[in-house]
Amino acid sequence: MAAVTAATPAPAATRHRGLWADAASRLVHNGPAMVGLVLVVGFIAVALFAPILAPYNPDAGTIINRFKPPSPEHLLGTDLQGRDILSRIIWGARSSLWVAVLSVSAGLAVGLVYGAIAGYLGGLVDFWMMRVVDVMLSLPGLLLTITIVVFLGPGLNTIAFAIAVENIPIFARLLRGSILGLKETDYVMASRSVGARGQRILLIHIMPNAITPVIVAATLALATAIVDAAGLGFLGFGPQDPATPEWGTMLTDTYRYLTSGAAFTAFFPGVAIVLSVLGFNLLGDGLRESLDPRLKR
Amino acid sequence: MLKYIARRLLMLIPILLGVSLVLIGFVHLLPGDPCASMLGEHATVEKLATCRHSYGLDLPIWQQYVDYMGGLLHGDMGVSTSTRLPVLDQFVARFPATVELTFAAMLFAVGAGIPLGIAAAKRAGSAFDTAATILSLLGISIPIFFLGLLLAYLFGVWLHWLPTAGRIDLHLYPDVGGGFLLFNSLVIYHDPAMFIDVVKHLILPALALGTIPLAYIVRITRSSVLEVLNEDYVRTARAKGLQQRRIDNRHVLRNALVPIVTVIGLQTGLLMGGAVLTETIFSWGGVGSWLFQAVVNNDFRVIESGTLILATIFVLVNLVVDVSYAFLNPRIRYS
Amino acid sequence: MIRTRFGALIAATMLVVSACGSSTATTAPSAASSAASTSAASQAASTAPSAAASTAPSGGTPVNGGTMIFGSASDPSTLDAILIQDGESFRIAQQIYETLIKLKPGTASDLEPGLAKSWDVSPDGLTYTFHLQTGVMFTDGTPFNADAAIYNVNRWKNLPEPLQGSDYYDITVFGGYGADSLISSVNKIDDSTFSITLKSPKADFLTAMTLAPFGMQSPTALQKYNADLAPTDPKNTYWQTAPTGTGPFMFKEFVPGDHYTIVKNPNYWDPANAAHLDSVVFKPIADSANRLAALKSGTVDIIDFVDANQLNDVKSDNTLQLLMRSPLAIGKYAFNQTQKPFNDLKVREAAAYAIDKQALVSAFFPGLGTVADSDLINTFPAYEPNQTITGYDPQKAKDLLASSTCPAPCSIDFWYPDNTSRPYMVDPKGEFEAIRQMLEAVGFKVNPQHKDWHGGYLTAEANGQYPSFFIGWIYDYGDPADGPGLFYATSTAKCNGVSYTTPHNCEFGEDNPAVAAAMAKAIAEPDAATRTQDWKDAMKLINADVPDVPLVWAGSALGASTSIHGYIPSPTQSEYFNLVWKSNS
Repeated sequence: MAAVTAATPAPAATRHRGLWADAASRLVHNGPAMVGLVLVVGFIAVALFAPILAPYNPDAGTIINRFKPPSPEHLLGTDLQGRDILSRIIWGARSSLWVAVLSVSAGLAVGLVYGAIAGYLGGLVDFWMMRVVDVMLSLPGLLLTITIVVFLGPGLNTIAFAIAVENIPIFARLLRGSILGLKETDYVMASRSVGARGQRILLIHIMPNAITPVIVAATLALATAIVDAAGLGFLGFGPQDPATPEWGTMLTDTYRYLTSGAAFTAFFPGVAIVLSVLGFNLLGDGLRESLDPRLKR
Repeated sequence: MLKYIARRLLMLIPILLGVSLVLIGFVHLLPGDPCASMLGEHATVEKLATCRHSYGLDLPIWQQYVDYMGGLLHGDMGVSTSTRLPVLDQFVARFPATVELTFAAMLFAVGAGIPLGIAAAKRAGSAFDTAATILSLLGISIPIFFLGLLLAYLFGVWLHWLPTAGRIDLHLYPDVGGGFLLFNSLVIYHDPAMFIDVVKHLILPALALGTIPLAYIVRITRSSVLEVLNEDYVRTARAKGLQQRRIDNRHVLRNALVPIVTVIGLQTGLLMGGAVLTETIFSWGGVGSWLFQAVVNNDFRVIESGTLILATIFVLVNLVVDVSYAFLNPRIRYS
Repeated sequence: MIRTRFGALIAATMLVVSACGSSTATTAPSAASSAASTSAASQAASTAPSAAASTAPSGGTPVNGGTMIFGSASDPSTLDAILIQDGESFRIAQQIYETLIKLKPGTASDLEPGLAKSWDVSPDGLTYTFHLQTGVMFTDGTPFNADAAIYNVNRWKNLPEPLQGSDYYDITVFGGYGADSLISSVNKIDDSTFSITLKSPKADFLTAMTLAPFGMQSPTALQKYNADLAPTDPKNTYWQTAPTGTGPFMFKEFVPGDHYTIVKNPNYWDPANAAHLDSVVFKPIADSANRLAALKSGTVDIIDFVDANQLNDVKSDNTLQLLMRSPLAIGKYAFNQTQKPFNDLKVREAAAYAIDKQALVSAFFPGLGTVADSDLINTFPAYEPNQTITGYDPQKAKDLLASSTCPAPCSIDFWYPDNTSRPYMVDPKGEFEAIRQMLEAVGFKVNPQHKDWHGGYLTAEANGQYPSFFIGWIYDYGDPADGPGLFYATSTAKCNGVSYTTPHNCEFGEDNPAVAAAMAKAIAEPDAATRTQDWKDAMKLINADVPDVPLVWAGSALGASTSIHGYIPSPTQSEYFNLVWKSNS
């Protein structure tokens, strides 16, 4: 049947160095992608340097100072507990980055191994391994995630794990598809005919070419992970310690006060989510175009 | 073709068996005892035992699984522990709401997404194209609940333009019942005013739910059309002097449709089960919020049967998509 | 009643009143009740505050017609009257069923005739004779007469086996089924007169008869729709399709998760009190902020349990009005005295001095609550001010902690519930974070712990697993027996899996024989004045143990469109919609 994915690997990728160099130069000339890169780098920098950047201790506050509107003292105002919202958004970047990186790397690791085995071995093994993937993919994603979080209890690591489970079948299927497509290409055939051993074929020839769509997918998955984590926060599944700043939870905690003159307390965390996610999406989209030159003309 | 469909339907069986195994495993790992939450904190040991027995929870897990699957074969999907109503009845009561919401969201996504995508492709590289790219990525980047809340407060609470909860104005139709309101209002009640009211209730949740599919459809339409536009036969057609519009309709769109339909099918399948957040914000009595509550309340039978139904629908939607390829692109053959 | 609990309420029978309900949580967590679930309606004694705070709009001549949409928290859990325990079901049942005796609207304990136009009590207090209204029909055409009433009373007495355990008020008021029921016999005197004979006197019997679960249901409909089969049996379709009473409204349709509609009973037996509204629709909206949004956008006409922080939002909207209920609930931060470090009185005292209650109440209960200094509500006769630690004194807290067995940093587990909002605990997580700051400021190290309210919080808390936690209580009626009398009652059951050799209190670990004796004396005392004094004595003993930090006395508020008139709020939530009318706007 027709397996149509947007990210089919570029058949022109026979010269490695050429591919990456070409891609990099295309990426640099892609305006939206550069905006994305700036947002992503900014987001990561904020997360890493939170202790330096945050003007206040994100946990310090008292309810007497609640809902102070933005002012020179508190640039984005204070929240329900009288804490500085800007500082909490800055520290919240850590939570989001942690969940995103943990969930995507865990999902990638398992998904890649699984997909590589299935794709490389092929045959009946591949068939049944892919049916398991079908099972996973046919479960409603968000509900599966919620079920896992309810099962494991609240906390950022739990949330990351739950999102990773959602990612595994996606990465597995993607990588397997790439490998299948590449296995039959000329240069693999050629290296097999000169007697290279199977593992060598997998590692040296197939993997790097199969990996490009995965890089794109992983970048986009980072974006999805941040959105999913925020959605879980909205439904009441946030960090175990409520003092831990998390954007989705920050938005949700104050949204019952939205019409009580404190709309900014919910609005700013929302904007933070949108900007960071947009960054990963722009970058991922740009990567896709630069790694697959046929798409961009 | 028929053989292909039959084979795909047969594949449903192992998939659903797998899903049911995963589910029963999961649900029984969930912390808490459904009977304890039903009977309260002062339930006696005997009462708990009776309750657990009546739901078969005292049996070994494989026995529970066999009994459950046996029930399914007879159309018995079990009984909810929180409402004590048959799961199937509850599903049937809520499913029309989900279908109409999904339909409206996809209508919005497809209706706006395909023209936008084509326009962007034709002006590839232009400012319009860049704007469309960024806007569609922005659509994927806004958490659905944030967008939903913004829409609800802007158009509902502040502007009073559109309703924020429910499927119909219950002031006007207090006893309309449930079911397919879009369909019923026109076909059964012949009431255009009622139809318009239903549509008004659909707008905000459909916008919130349809934004992500919209973004994906714009992206995929743009790239598939771009690809086709540069295929040889389109160049040939152009060289032959065919009118641009004829080229669009006949060649470009038709050939670009396969990936677009794939995305539409995938997104439709996702929306059917993934509308938890939208349903929560707009008090939409659909399947998503029902299952969410079931997870929170440890209503194991609802989780198992409800998810199983959704998984079936998801697989069937995918089958429909795959079959539709054959009609869209005669080069694809199934065997 | 309500924090959701099945309790030893029977202990309170000597009082004017009785029953209490439990919330949606325990027995029937209904499908959409995650956020603000409601409390059940209940009962109040003459000591309870009356609905003085009623701000129901009066003026104007009632207009007939129209539909009122009530934004509820969830679908009803059942409408087989005798099985009802949660607030959403109560609300609907009060409109479609009628009881033999009713509460005067807005009052907590004034009786008035219902389906019985009068009643007599025998001198021994055992036999109650009811003289029924004549010419009354159930909405399915079945006549309401002595036979129908007896059918209902016998169903309470001999509750069908499959339904046993699904009821709450039946077992609480009558103590058992069949031979164990307090009802000894039911006798027909003539077509419109019958009597109920009890095994032993029960002063609150008549008041209990005003509770919605004791509403009269059509015997024909109960039988036709198999109401006596298990609620899970698909053949039992009674409450979803045909709940049938004599009330001013009758069932129209139920679309689970979407709405529940009742319509005016056109043949209501008492035309003077027939409904003004054509129909009332109950629309479940789980989240309180979404309910308010629906009210403000006109999607619904009235909502219950407006968040205190949203009161101004309603007030400032000139198309909306607030309907206030006076406080009958207590919210508190409680300790389990058997768990470390709260086994040390000094630690409990330190926590009490560390909490700035005024700041807390101003932040979370503006307009709906006042700072509490007792488990009792300040309108109760037995209430005495300044019997607990009232002053906010961080320095004293630090000193106490330093001299305790748990000097700073004193690590404590502090539990709060997820996914709930109660009148006495509107934003558990927000309140937790505020108190945490205060506790940490004096040297505590707080470990946040939380669990879903419906998903195990209450069970674990009641079993004594939590060292310190949020909890609260909504009184059924204004007597300490319904509060401290239950909280600090001892139990012979296992606490947290541990069997104690002596009767023991699981929840608070209050293990003081003097307290138990003082409470037993108060509960057994027939004379009201003496009983009040007994309770004052008992409370002194209890307060000396500092089993909790009372935080707030909370009322609640409905928000409604200004087109809604005649809605009389009741502290017990016994509110009748036949009085309500809607102006054309």
